[in-house]
Amino acid sequence: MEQSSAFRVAAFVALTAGMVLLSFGISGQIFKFGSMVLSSMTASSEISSPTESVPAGSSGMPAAGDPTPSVGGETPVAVGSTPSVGGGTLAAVGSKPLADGPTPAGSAMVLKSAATLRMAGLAPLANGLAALVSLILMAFVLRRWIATQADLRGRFLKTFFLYEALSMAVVVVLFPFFWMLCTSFKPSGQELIINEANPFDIVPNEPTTANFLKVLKWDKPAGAPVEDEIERKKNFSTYFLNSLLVASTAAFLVTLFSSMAGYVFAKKELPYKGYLFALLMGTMMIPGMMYMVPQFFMISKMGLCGSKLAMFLPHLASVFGVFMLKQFMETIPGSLLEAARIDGASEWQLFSIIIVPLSMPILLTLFLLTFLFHWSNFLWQLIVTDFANPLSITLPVGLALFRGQYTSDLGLIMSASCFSIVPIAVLFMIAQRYFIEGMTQGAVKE
Amino acid sequence: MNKNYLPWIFGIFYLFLLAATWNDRVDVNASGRTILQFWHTYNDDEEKLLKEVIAEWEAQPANSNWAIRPIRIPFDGHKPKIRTALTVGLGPDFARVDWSFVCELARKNACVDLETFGFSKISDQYLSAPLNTNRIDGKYYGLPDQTTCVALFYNKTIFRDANLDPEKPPKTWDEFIETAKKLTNSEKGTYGFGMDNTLWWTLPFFNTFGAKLISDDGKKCLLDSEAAVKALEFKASLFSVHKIEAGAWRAGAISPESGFVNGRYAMIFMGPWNLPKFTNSKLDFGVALIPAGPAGSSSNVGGTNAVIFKSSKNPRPCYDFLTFFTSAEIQARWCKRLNQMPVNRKSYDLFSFDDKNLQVFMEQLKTSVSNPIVTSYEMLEDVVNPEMEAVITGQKTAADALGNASRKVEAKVLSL
Repeated sequence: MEQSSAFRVAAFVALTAGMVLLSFGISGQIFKFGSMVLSSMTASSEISSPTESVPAGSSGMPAAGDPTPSVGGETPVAVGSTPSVGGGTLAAVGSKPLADGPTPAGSAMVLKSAATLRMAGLAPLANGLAALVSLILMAFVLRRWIATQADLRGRFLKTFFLYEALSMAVVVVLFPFFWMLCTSFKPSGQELIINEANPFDIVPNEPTTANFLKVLKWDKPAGAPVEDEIERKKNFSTYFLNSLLVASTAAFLVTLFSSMAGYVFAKKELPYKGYLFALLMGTMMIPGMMYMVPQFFMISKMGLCGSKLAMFLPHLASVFGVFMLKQFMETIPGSLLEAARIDGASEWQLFSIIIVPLSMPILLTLFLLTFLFHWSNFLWQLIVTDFANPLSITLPVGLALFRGQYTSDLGLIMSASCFSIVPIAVLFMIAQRYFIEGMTQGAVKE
Repeated sequence: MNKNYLPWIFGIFYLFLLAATWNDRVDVNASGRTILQFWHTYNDDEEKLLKEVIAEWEAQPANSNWAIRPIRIPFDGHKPKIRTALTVGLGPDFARVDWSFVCELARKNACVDLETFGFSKISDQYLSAPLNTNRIDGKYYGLPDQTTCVALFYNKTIFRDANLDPEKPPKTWDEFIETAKKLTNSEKGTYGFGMDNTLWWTLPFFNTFGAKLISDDGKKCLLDSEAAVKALEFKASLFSVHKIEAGAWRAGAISPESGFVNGRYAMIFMGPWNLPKFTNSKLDFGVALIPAGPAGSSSNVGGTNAVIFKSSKNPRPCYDFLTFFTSAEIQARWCKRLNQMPVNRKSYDLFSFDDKNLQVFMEQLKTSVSNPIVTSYEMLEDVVNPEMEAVITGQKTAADALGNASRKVEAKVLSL
């Protein structure tokens, strides 16, 4: 008994230490991320992207032309309450490129310093908040531990361990997304650099919002000459809306058509139904790639190339969807339909009042799958896109425009990807609730 | 009754979405000129300059009938896009394509032989390595519009730490091995060299040993020649015998680029495209020529070529524009502004880079050799890469592997 209680205390201490480490690490990164977003948003909103300032710098005068006034305007704001320290650092940053000669990076470095300085100023606050979170958690756990009776402490430890393990799993799952968010704030050239001192510290120390501004084409200063309509439309919000329309329309129509066909195959009598269905299933044996060229020929003969209709029209007939819905609808008891018929329900009412609500979970699953398919269907959308018309460019194709022959602008790709995961995350969150609701519907009779 | 508002919310949202994206036509202001479509894959900075060049060309009195419309397509996927568009007659008049794509387009009879416009009169002005990626079965089907090659990048900080002179990078392969041994510290996880193991990245080895991979008539594969075997043996020995290479070519290993930026690999092969990136990362590095082998220093060639399609109704003005675009003056301006390598020899006299590293690439390009020209370069890579890997991992001898690769290439790739 003595031994095991000592062991319990040791386990508790070890678990608490792990928890403090974990919570300090996570909340530290999250607060640092928050301070980074804040400082980069407020400091660099007017500054044009670093890449654009490169030619100006390389032509001889590093601080010539447009960037200078904006830096001058930013400096007092950035320095804030500690003018002497801030000014000194800024001067040091500024003088380094001069000592090495006028390098292209010179002007870019000066531009970045406002956000960097502000972030450095916020660092103690972020660390303090992270420590506070860890302390509160530790106090909470300690209180619970003391309040727990001695014989229940084994169970307490088990739960504690479970929560900690689950938190670790959450970190592992969410890490790539967090990394993507962080990379999208990194200036060009620093995306691949790993922090030597702490490889888990992935929040950039020199944040910039230039990637987002560039992706959305908001990086043009107000006084710049107005570009033509086509150039203005070539931005990620256009691609995003296009993709949203294409994917949601396609998903809705596929679900509608598949549910109708599935209903007929599951519940209706029609001659040679079995053979017809087998024939339909047979087409699933042929790889989808084989259809691509004939479908492309048909679409271009119809003159639809470059329209949004072309993006999903050939994919509206989904054998997989029909199959999936038929299998589900067969499990709906036929007596339900008979009862409804006796009560005078029309065919349309049978379908819309009985079949559709009962198959909601599977319909939503099909909707989600189709949405995802069209949201990321690169190759087909690439070949039917009319690139002369940016209004026909969708998100996966737009993302590809950032990749060059040898180089990819990782910062731009990542900031664009941030937009592309939003609707999928939202859809999953909404659909998940309905999914569970549908699954448990009628499970219990009261 | 519990009312479900969600479908309504979705419905209204969808209607807004439909209204926002309903219009999918953009009007281009007509100028009364005949439009020539140019599909390109330039990035933002390049596109801006391209438009300036186009405006200059259109302003010339001789070109008052033509308007060039540049259309950007993604580099990833430009091949399937062009293939499919050409089959239904929706292709452009001319396009900028990857150097390896010209051969397929030419052999499938899709692009125009430039001799129709008298290309031989001006072909001398182009650098031979990029130019020869356009030479298919003895004729030129495109002209180079942008070129690159790889050279040796080295980390000066690691050189200093190993008591080596950071201004004296290795000049020959023997010196290279000697230097890399001093730079390797496998306990700390730093290595003298990090390399890729695909064919394109191995071409510098083949070329410095004077190995030619495909015969001039395109009928025979010469991968099993003595020089090629020696080159591959040498490459494999860097990893297996001298232990100066980090194994960066392995799946899941730190890539050469990432290892170099983080100070793990002291030397890598890399092209000029990463110079701004490395400069931004505050790395202290230098660039040197590829170390010389039996055939001297040499490298591969990359970049893009411009081709004119047979489906174009007006190929002549397209050709005129391309020659204007690759003329010495325009190339000099383009390259100076964007830090790229000119394809035109005459541009070399017109400008020089302030950046010494870029100057090294200009030098390296003079000794670069054109890549193997086959109908499907991807397939060539697919056949050769596994064989090369078998040599490095010690499963096969270089002679065996390359003999095998040579037979497969002749059966699968050269028969296309």
